[in-house]
Amino acid sequence: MLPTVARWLGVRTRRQFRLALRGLSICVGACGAYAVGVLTELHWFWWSAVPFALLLAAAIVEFVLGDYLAEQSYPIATEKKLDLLERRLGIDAVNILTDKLRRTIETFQACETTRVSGTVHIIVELSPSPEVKARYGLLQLTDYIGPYGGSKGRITTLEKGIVGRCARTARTECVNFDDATEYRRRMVEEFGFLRQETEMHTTFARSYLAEPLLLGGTVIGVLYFFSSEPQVFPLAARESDLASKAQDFVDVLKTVSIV
Amino acid sequence: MPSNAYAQLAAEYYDALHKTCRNFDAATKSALARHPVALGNDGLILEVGCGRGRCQEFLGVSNDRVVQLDSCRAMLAMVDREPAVVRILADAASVPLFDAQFSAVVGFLIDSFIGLAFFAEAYRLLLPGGVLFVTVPAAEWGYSLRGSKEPEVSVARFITKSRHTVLVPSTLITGTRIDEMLRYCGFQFISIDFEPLPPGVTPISPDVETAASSYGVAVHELPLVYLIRASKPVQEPLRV
Repeated sequence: MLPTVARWLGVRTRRQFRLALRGLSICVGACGAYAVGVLTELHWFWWSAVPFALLLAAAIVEFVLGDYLAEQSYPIATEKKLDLLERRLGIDAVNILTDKLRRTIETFQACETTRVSGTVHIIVELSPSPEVKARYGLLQLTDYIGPYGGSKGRITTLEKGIVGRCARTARTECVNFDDATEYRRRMVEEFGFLRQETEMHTTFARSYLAEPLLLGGTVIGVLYFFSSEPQVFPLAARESDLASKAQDFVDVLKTVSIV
Repeated sequence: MPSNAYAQLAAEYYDALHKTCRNFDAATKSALARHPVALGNDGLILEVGCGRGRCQEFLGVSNDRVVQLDSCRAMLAMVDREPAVVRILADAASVPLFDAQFSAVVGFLIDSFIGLAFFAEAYRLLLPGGVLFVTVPAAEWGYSLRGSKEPEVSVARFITKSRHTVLVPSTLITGTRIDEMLRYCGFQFISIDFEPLPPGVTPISPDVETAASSYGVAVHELPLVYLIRASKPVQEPLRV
């Protein structure tokens, strides 16, 4: 019964269960201690035994029964299997996303699809700074499909880049550059990068497209493509129905609980 | 507006010093003699990437029909130029003019801005039945010199009189791909002819000789420029 209630409350892992139990014990214990203090001051010594019993129960739950209950509800072996399964599911999900990206690139027309690269970013919470309590970034979920681009795991902030603009506007964003000089200038003037940062960018991509991944009207990520061929986007993707493809990506991410 | 490296070349772009460009000119004239272009007798002609203007020189059209467009102020400001109705400083892929006003869109060596967006823009600006006529360096010539790796493959290198190297954007696209792009944008009656350097032209650019030797052919056998022609349908197809 306990695991059912816990799962109903959104507690999905052993670690979450143990922390929830600890939090509950601390709350009950603190309230109990306060009540004991108040009742003692009022000289209601017998009545103070009730909150004292609660305090004792909370202490026993935390220090004696907590690990046992966690083991009963979320056995370590099962937890390991779940973890493995989730990891496996994660790998499969990334493979599915990769495959979908490849197939999406193949739908682009009248361009050299071999020069198009693509990846998926999802919005993640970043550790807060003193000025900004809620900070978000874009985590690159897959390696780039196509000839150029880096590997997964990179995080950029929402304030930067074409992908950041897409996450902020929740609209399809297309940007084209004539040459590397224009790319560097606009990256500084429009896309929030420092001049020094642009020196480290790959500057031979000429055409970019970012499509928002929307869940219930909220941006949860971005589909991102670029080509070293000029003027490719948005025309080459005109027939690709990217909005519908973006929804497919969202469905995969939802299925594996990544979002 | 895009940054424009052509500003550094404007003063000398048409000099005999730039042998490769002059070889392109010779190939263009030879191609036009073999495949004349019919632009009709009336209607405005938009010359994109015009530089000093070449519509009269290459096509013999009346100056009072030509609207010259270039994204480089220095090119448009050249004094020694063909007259035109008006000069426009703008990107050929994003022209600040209303739709369907030109009977022809013309451009010579448009490799610095060729692409889907340009073709779509040309289509938008043409009257129904209007003609697109442009030339570009042949991909066969360019790939043999530049290889296939970025960024070298997308850059043309000019050595100026003062021995400075100026890099300008230059996209190489095969004839097959250009045909696909034009169809995708809605054009019909597409023809793409390639032209080598005609015999008797001197001097021959080392860049042409090197490319020809890499294929093991004579300089007069190597495709040097593509002549691209296409028409906007008189009646636009329905889009569902």
